[in-house]
Amino acid sequence: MIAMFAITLYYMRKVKLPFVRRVPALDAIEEGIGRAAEMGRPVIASPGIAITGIDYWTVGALSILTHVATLCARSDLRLLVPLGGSEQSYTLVEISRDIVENQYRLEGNPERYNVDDMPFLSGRQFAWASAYVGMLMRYKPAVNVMVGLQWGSAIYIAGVSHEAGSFTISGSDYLANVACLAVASDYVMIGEEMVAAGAYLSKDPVQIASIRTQDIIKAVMAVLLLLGILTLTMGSDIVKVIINT
Amino acid sequence: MSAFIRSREFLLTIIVATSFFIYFPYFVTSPEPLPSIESWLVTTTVVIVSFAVLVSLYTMTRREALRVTKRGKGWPYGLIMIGLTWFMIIVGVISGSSADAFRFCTDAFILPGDATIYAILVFYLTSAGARAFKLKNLESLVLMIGAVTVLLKQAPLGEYLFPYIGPVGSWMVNNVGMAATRVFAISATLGGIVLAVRLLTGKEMAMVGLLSRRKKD
Repeated sequence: MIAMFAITLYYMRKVKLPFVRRVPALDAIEEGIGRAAEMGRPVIASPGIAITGIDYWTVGALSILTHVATLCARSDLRLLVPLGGSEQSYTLVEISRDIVENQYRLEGNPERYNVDDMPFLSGRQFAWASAYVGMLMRYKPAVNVMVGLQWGSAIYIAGVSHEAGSFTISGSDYLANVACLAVASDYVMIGEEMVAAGAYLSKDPVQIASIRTQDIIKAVMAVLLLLGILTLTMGSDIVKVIINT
Repeated sequence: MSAFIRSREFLLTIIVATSFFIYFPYFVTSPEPLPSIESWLVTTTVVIVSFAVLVSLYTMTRREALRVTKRGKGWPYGLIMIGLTWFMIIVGVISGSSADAFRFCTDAFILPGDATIYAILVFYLTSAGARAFKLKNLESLVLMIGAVTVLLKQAPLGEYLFPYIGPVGSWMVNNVGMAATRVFAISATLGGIVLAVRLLTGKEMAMVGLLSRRKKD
């Protein structure tokens, strides 16, 4: 853990832009909002249901919401944000409203922000999902960005989003759901792509360096995994012993 | 004053100080007052959440009341929602959540509603699967072969019609599927740790709405 902190901080101090692989789902957000501007239709974005409170998935989702709000404010687009979905989501409601209002103000378009476009729908997951799909059907948004903690209701929302003709970009913390969303969405974020969104979208060399560190550590772990498989197959547990010490 | 509260330095100080008081006593046996500050912060969070519930209730009622008074699209549903919400609040506050009227509302409205939506998921999943399993390129071919194999393994007739489907399907679930699960878990955890480093070093300020401000600075 200490080594990881050290490597991350070292890379974050380096100013040159390291190579980071493309994340199509994050790149597609701009494309989707461009589509909304061309069609004159609103954008809908959800930071998830925050069922476990404001954890790292929700922090990643808030970074994406900030990016979406900035692009919507710049393009003078209406942004709908269905909030709620769990008994832990009440604080997320206020945080999300504050973030979106800030972005509209910072982009010089405060009159476009409407708190009624960011309703608290329900503290229950499926009631929230029903109200979310109601918004999809009523407003026919051009793009639907659903990230953060998206549980069982995600496939329902993504299905209706397809029916409503929305371009769907999704992400989830829950692996079985990622598989469902992969078949139901136009683009899906897998694994750490959602939590890395803030750094990736900022295009800030210092932040992108932290993604690079993450990739390096993943490569080291992959090598260790392969070595472990090979040595265990040959009857030696040397890698296990090294990791345990 | 407002500008100071919203400044990057002030928010970063709050984040670092809060993280220190929460995490330090958790990992290290600490002398007083650190454990007391930790428990005070946790209690404060509960209090903030309780007030957030009230704010959410207020905004929900306001929004639906506006829709009803302006006769907006679907206004009768808004009326039903306000009526039921406040009925449950009043009954819950007066008689508690075990009262007959409260339990009736839960059993008659909330649980059937949840069950209905849950049942609908299967149809949406099938429809999404049918769209995804169209043969478009090499990746979709691999996806289709994998999905059909596992589907046939699970179906009662699958192994009867194709005897090799069972072992092949099990191998795919236990090896390919398991490897993907581990990759997902490892990469997500690493992502979480790196995000925490970014937060603690003040690089990830998007969650407090400072993304554009920093860029402009």
